[in-house]
Amino acid sequence: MTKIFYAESRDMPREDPKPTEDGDEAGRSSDIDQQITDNLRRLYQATVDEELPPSLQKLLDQLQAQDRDDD
Amino acid sequence: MIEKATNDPAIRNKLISLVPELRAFALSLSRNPSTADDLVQETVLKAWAKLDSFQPGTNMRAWLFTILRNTFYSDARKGKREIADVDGAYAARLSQKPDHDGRLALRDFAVAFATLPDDQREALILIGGSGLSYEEAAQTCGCAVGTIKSRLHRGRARLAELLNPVDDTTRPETAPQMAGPEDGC
Repeated sequence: MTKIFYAESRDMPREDPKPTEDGDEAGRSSDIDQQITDNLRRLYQATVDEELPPSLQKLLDQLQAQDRDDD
Repeated sequence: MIEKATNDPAIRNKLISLVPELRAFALSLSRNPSTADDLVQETVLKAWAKLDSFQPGTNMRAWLFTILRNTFYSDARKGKREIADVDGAYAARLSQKPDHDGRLALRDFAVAFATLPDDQREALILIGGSGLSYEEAAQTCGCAVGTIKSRLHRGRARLAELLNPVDDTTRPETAPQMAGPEDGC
């Protein structure tokens, strides 16, 4: 049996919700899905954009300095 | 002195450039900033020491994420890492200014995200956050592609529930309101 997961189709073009009785709910669900996609990227990027903590920066400085000394 | 395992400076520079992304993955796994930074430091030292085992031309980010993930779960098994502060530290890092709707929404999202099981969080952040392919994420997590897709699906469904709780009071009544045994009354 082939299972179709949401994730497989998330990059496919989406049609606007059909104007049915359930239209509002379909539109809201699509909006939530998009918010999840956007917020996952933002959550990840927020940390990537942060300044590194001093302890980690110190380690990287040591590694780079060692590199220069060896070359 | 930290032993250097490769003579290619481009590879070493690439590793260093990926440290911010390692932090983002570490934080999503541990949900604790202090633990995440320790985890990244340990990962960088391990990776630096065995850079000669990295295959040039392959995805270094996925390689580093694999080392970090293995370190995280290995330490967790040993009871080395402290318990994550689910409601506090993770979301609190984000802006606390109440004047920006997007930021507020992101904090709410971070709190909901932190409540997900480990396997769902890592699938979501690897694919939805860092942009790894299903195959790369599956390789990083040591599981099948179908498993990753399933975790991703369940994680997104749970997030949707948490962020958009169903309000029963707005639903049309389709049956008389009767107390039954299932109500526990």
